[in-house]
Amino acid sequence: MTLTLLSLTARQLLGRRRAIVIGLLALIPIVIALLYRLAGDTGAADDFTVGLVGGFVFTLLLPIGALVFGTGALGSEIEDGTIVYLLARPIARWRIVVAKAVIASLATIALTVPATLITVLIALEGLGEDSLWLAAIVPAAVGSVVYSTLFVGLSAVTGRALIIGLVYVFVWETVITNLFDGTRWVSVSQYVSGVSDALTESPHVSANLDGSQSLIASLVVIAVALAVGVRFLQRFEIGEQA
Amino acid sequence: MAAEAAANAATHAIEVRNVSRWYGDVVAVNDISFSVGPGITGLLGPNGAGKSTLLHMISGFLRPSAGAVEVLGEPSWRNTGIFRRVGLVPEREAIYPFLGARDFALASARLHGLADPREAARRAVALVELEDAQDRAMGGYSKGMRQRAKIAAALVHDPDVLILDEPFNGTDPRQRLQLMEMLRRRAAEGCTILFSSHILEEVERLAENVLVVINGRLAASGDFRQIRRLMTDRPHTFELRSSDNRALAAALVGLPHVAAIEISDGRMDVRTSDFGAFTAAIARAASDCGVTLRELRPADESLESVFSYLVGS
Repeated sequence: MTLTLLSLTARQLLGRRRAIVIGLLALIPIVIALLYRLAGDTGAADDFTVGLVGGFVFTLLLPIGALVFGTGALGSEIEDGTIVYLLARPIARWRIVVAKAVIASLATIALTVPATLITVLIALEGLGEDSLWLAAIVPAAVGSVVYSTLFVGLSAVTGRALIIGLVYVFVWETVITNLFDGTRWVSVSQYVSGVSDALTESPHVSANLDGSQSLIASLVVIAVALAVGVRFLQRFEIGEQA
Repeated sequence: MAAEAAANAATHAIEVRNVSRWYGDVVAVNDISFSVGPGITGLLGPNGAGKSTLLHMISGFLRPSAGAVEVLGEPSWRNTGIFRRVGLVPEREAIYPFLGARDFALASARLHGLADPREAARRAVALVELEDAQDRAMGGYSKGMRQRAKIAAALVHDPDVLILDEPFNGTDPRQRLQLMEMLRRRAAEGCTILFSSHILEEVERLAENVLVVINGRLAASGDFRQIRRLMTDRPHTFELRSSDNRALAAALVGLPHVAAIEISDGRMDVRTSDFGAFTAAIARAASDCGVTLRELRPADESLESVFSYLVGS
């Protein structure tokens, strides 16, 4: 039963055109890293790599990829009506939500982690020092799970999950979180930075939250997103009149 | 009390009691009560009458604003367990475009946790006669083929109750006949089938009972011929052919319940205010005037006339 849910979700998600488009986005940091190496000025490779990973992968590729896969996994099924074929079966709603979150997370990991690793390998001509490669791919994986689950939960709540997700990523995380210190607790990008900072001694990496704070906050977000998603799917109504 | 409820559930698979549903100020369904037992019941009404809202409430996808809906003795709202014995064919055409009909039915069988999902899927696809196209992706199916694939997926677990929302949309006449025959067989095996349609002919040909919904209210329910006969405020029309229509007309015109007689092209149309009294009197009247009655049939007992009376009333 669970395998069927996973398989249906994966086939539906990866067959969508926007999934292919977002795959192309993952090539951008790799191309930038290649151009950096080809330019020959590699004096500040660590600084450049941290800037590229933090400035592009963590703040753009990761949340946008998770938004596309997270909302696509559940929201698109609700929107096109195929969700009825899952809900009209004797399946606990939590299984559906968890299956959607697992596939969306795996798809986002598959998008971000290899792209991050290849970017780091090219920019640093290897794994580099201070475990920088680890400080890049582990938070990418953690962020993939947190963001994806958050957006799966959000798409169970509203049909406008894509727009709200974009506002969250580009307004809340990029602007508000930088203006008000207390909001770091409700920013997934801050958790990603916190995990990254905990894994390296590099002076180029810094964060507002420490590693354990970030992990605990990540688990809370995952749990809340799943609980909210299950709750809304349990009370799902076909929203048309007559 | 519990025994009574169990007995009721056995005879009436679907119970709708004083159910209303409104969206803001708009009342979609207004205080409707009915029960549906084994056999085929057609839910009939014009577009926007509240048919889909009712079916959504029965299948647990819409919470009634008031009243109660029970399927197989259990409330349907938020009750995923009912789908072990209920099959649902939604109206929306949405399908998984990358799956073939067989894989769609197979996925459904697996989601039901059936012991032999492959055999169940094979059987369901055969029931809707979609074997030839079962391995082609449904994205390339015609509307009628998609409908049949949806029905196969809903039948895969051999449900006791089958709910179909406009199931014949997009099907060609041959497919429609085949699906109707299949549904009749299932009904004969004891399945409770409730389907909605705005096409009178479909309901007339398939349903043993009808529920007529108009403007969110239940306008009539039961056998539509019985409904027509109960509409005593509307004269009934009979079509007659006899050896001498004029002589028979002269004999009938004196009967108190005969309102009008019209003779044309070898046939006679008689309007009567009392269905029972007229059918009892016609044979004697013909015999008394030495006329042979060759044909006698109600001319306005079709579902169409019942429906137009109800809509017009």
